[in-house]
Amino acid sequence: MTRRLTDLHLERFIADAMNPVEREQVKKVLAESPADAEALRLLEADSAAFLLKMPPAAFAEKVMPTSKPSSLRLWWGALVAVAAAVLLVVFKPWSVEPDTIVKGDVAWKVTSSGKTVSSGASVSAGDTLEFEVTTGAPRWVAVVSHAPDGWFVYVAAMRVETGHLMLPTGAKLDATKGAESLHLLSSENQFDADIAMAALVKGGAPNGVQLEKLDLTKP
Amino acid sequence: MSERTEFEALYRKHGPALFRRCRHLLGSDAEAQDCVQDTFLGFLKGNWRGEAQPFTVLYRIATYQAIDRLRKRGRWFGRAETLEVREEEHDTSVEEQGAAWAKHQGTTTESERVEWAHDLAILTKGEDEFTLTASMMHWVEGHTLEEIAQTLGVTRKTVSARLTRFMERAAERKKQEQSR
Repeated sequence: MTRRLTDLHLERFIADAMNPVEREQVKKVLAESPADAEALRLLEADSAAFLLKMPPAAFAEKVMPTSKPSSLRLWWGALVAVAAAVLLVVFKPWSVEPDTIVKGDVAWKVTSSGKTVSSGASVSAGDTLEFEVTTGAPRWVAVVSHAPDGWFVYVAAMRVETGHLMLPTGAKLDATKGAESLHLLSSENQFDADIAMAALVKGGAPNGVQLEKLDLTKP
Repeated sequence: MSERTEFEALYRKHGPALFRRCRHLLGSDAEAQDCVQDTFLGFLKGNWRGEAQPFTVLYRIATYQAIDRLRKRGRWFGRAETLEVREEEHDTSVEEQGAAWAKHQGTTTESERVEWAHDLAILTKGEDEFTLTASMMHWVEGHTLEEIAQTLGVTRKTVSARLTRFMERAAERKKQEQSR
């Protein structure tokens, strides 16, 4: 099998560092050339393995260590945190709306412009997906996406308390066309979204992490 | 998004590619890890406003960091005695670039590429990050002028001019070395 793209083409494709013309050319070759598609898959697997070995949080701590905040900053931080909590979190009794996906003790709802996005739905470039979680007990949750141009963490693992929460991070969809799967992950225990993503690349969620999949298409 | 969260996202997106870049040039996982760390430190210290893309900047810094390490090894293999810019390749499409790259990969062994990298590390001493990166991409890795231009966010003409001027300076430097 002969390669038709350079490794650098594939790296830039993954990094989204190509102009639209180049990107289209690369997509076309990837669809036609199994050797290049396999090379892309290997690069993605290598990236996932690298992030397992050197996770982002640990690397960030090495490069930009957290400094001890001053008491004034601490007060401001606390004030901002309380304000954010008031704005973002609306607790409701444990109840499940009709459009939610229930897995174990966690119910997910994906919305775009206030409308529920169900599995099999068509979405468009520029749409912003938002993720709502309802849970009867504290949980760790994360959202990972598998798009035609690779795997991405949309929402890094975060702890949610009992009740109903709109996750603070959404995902704005780019112009990449094709099928995309959202992997909605939850666990009683803390987990790392990158590690979970690496496991998903290999074929399944890590032990103790519940997975719910939502398939979308971007025509 | 906090500065730290943004940094983690940047690392998640580009860290693995930079690690492969450093490992490819240095041939060592341990050195490549240090190289990636220095790359991000360099990125954080710099002012990159107005630069093309984070990938372009990070790729250039990573190459510079890796070559700086190679230079410290101070080994000359004589591969870069004569340099020539490959101007005539047809390389407007990614497939033409891929074909030229595959041809280079097929005619150069891994050890030859390592020797080329060591030689160029010595020749590029004092050169700017752009020239150094473009030199490595062209002579060590076999990328065409167009692919280098696309990656570094400049025109093909700029790449050609910068490499040609570097060749002239390198020839002059070699002449001075020999006359000592």
